[in-house]
Amino acid sequence: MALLDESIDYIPLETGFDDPVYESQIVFRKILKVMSEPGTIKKIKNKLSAPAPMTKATAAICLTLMDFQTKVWMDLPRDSEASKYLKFHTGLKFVEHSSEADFLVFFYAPDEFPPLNLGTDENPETAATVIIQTQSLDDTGKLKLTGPGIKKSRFLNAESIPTSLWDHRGKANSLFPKGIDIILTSNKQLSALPRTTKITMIKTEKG
Amino acid sequence: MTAISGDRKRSSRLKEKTLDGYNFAYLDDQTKRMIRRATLKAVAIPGYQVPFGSREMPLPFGWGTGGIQVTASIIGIDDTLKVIDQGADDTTNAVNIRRFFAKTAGVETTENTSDASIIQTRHRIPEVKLKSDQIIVYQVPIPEPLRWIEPREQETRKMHALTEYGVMHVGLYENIAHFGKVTTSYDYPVQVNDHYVMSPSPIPKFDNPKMDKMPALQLFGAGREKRIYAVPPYTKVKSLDFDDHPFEIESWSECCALCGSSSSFLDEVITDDKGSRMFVCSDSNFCAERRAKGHKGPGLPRKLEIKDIE
Ligand SMILES: [Zn+2]
Repeated sequence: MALLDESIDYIPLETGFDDPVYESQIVFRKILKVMSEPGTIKKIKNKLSAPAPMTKATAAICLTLMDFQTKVWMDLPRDSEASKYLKFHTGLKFVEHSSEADFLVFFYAPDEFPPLNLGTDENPETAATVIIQTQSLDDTGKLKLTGPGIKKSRFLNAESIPTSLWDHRGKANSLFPKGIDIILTSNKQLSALPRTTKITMIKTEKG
Repeated sequence: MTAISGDRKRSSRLKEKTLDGYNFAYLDDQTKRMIRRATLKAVAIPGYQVPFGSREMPLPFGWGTGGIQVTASIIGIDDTLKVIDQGADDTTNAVNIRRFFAKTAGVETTENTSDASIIQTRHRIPEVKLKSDQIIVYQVPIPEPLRWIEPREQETRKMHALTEYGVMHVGLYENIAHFGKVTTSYDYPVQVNDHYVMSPSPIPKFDNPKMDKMPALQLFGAGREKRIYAVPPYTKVKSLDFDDHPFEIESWSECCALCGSSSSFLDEVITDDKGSRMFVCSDSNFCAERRAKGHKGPGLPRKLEIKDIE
C-alpha cells in the first residue's frame, strides 16, 4: 500500500470551517439526508472558500468526512491547490492507486470508474465512496430513481455525467451487497446515489 | 450576510448552553467522523451491521451506549430530542439520557413524539406515526439475529451475504411445531429490502409493522458489539413468517384503562397485592395526549376474578 507521506509545508489561502464542530454536524446531516433519501438535493450554506475547481459542496463534504484515517484518491495532481487544501484542512492520506481509496473525488466525471474497492460480500461497508462534481443538479428527470429511501420514484438530472458511467455503476451494483456509493455535488448542492438505488434512463426528445 | 451572523449567534449559544470542558455531545470530532462514516455505509446497505470503533461512554453498557453514540454523532444544536424506555419518557434510563444530551449538547428535549427531530428508544416504537425528517435511534443489546444459531462471526457474515437464512426459518418453525405458533414476542427478526435479516432490537413484535416503509430514518446502535445498522425511509421491512403461519401481532381484549385506546400496545399493571390489575398504554405520551383530548378509559383497577383467568 503506497501511502504518500507529505509533510504540511503549505498553508492554503482558502478557509475551511469557521466552527468545525458546529458546521460539520450540519453538513453531515445533509449528507445523511441525501444518502438515506437518494436523489433529494440539499444545499450547503457554509461560508468556507475552496480553491478551483473545487466547489463549496465538495469542500464541505470532504472536510466533514475525511481525516488522517481516510485514504483518498483524486483526479487532480497532488500539487494542485485543491489537493493541498484538503490535505491541510483534513490531514487525509492520499493514495496512488484508486483501488486503495476509501474516498474517490472526481472534479471531472469520467467515462468509466478507474479500478475501485467494491467491498467484499462479507464486508460490503469497506467499499469506496465516490464524490463526483457535476455541472448542475436538478430534479427535472433523465434519471428515474427507485429503491430504499424513495417512496415511489424520484427524478434527478446530473449534468455532465456520461451515460457510460451510469452503465458502469449499474454493473458494479449488480454484485450487491458489494457496490459503489456516490455523492454528487454541484456548486453548493449535494445529492447521493447509494448502491441500492436503481437508475432508469429516461429518453428525452433530443435523444 | 445574515447567514453568517446567524451561524455566529448559534455558535455562541452552543458555547453558552453546553458544559465547560466537554466536547459538544460528549464525543470528540474524530470519533464522530468515524461513527458518521459508518452510519452512511449502514444507510447505503440497509439492514447490514457495520462494525465501528465503539467508545467508552460515561454510562454502563446496559444503558444503551450504542444508541447514545449514534445520537451523539448526529445531533446538533437545532435538534429536539425525545428519549423513551419501554414507551415511557419518565423512567430513570430515559431521564438520564435526556439530561445527558441537554447538558452536553444544549438541545431542547420533548416528550411529544411529533415535536421531536430525533427519538432515541429502548424497547418501543411510538404509537404516533413517525414523519419524514424524523430520525429514530434504537438502543440494541444484541445486533446479530443469527447468533443463537451460529456463534461464529465469519459464518454469520457469509450467511448474510448469501441470504442463507434457511436455519433461521427452521428455528422459527421448530418453535411453531412445539407451541403451535411463533412464541418469540420481542426482537422478532425482520428481513430488510428482501436481503438482510435484521434484529429490530427488543421491541414487541406489535411494533414490527411500524418499521415497514416508515417515512422516518431508522438507525440502530449496539455499543457492546460495536455495530451500527440502518433502515432508510420507505424501505420494505418484513417480519419472517410462513405460508401456513403468517406473522401476527399481539392483541388485547381489554382497552387502555386510562384513555380507552384499543389500538395501542398495553402493559399489564398490578395495582395492589390482592391481584387487582389494569391494562394501560405502554406509550405514556400517546396515552397522555389522548386523555388531554378528552378520551377516557374504564378506569379503576378491578379485582382479579376467576373468570379473568379462564
Ligand atoms: Zn392509554
